[in-house]
Amino acid sequence: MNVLEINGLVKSFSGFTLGPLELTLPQGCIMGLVGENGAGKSTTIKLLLGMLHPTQGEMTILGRPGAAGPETREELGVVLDEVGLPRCMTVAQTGKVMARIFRRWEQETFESYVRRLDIPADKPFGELSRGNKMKAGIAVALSHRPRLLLLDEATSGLDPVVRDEVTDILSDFTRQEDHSVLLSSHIVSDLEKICDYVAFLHKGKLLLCQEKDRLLEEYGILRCTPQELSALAPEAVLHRKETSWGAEAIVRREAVPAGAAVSPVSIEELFIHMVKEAR
Amino acid sequence: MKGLLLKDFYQLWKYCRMFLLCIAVFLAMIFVSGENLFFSLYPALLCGILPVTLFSYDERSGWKQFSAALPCSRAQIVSGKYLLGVILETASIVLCLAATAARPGASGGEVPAMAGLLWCVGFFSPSILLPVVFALGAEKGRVVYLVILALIAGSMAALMRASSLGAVASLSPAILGWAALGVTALYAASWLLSIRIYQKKEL
Repeated sequence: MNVLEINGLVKSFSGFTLGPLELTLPQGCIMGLVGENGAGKSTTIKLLLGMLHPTQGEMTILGRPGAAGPETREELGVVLDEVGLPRCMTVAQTGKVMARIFRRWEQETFESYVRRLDIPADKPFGELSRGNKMKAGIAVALSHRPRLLLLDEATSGLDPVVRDEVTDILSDFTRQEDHSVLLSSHIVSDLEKICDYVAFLHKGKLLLCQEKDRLLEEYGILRCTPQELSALAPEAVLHRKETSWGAEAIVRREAVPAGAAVSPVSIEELFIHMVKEAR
Repeated sequence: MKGLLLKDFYQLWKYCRMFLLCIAVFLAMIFVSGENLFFSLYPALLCGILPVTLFSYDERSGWKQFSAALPCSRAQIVSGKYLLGVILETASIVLCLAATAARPGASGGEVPAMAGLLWCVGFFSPSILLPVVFALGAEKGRVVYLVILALIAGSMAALMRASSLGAVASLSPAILGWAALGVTALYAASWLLSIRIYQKKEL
């Protein structure tokens, strides 16, 4: 079963168009939506949540057609870039409010996340650090038995220790096979650690959406001379960079002659090369 | 809905304590001011503005977007603000009437007319303001707010020159009753209009 299906989704603004997007997230998986600032990651999540109305296209979330309505949102855990909890409210007060909003709210789960993540429960949200704000948002998102997490830049601006804590929590969350995550970020290294699927967005266009492991098997980095690189079939080379020391290219492993020294590529390198190629 | 209201009451207590203190002072002034109508009308006017003030805090904190990700419909989000207006306004009117009736030398005859007048004053401005705020946001809505405030302040000044608490008693209860009914209908229409506006709005 797919928890998320997006078909031909387009959103047009003056001066920017997102899409057409084709994305599918199978149940039990984590998908990383990678893109630079302004690539359309937040717009995609807002379209899923019904905050924006699509220009065209269709989507299905947790088996229900269209953007997430109140019934579907009961099963979603959402963390937005700004989190959005009222600044004057303490984390403890936030728990009381959420208990009256979510039908399946679990106060004990919330309190255990607050303790585990070491969030000051009696401090107003506005006085928390960026890391603690994000952790509070994640605690709220996880405390009503959600099936799908939608996280918009949930690790941006956090120090490496907190980012590691967040990625651990997400990994724990997907241990249950009916739990899935869509996580947008421009910090590719975080996504590389935990994602099963990766989607690259650049200036509103979907460059790629594929299983991470297949992507890493399919592509590699070839370092050679410019002459050797020119000898390769054009479809083998995804992106090339020539310097005075030689040439470097992202290549499709299967289209490169056997014996060529192709080294593994990271998702970050692949993303940077693909974005440069798309420019 | 209960959660949305609880959140608003937490915010009200934190951000609007000065407003609430002002209202308390004005209620106290009803006792000492004798016939001055201003002290009775001002709390009702102030309470009508509080849902708009809270909406601007929602915008600043990002709650406006976050609430759209919660299992609440847009209609519930809008209704939360209107319901808060009803609760605050009703409480303010009841307290004002109690203070008016209990003030030294009160005859009590002006209380029914005062109820109608306070109801009209209290519910008129949010009826106009809230749809504008839901359509354009609190920042742009503030311009409309200032225009309405100027109109009401002008009307109140004229009213105060022409009348006093005693004079209010002489106003026709039938006219005030119809006016209160009209303002109630306006508030209900505004409520429905805001829901329609907010359901179509992109956040």
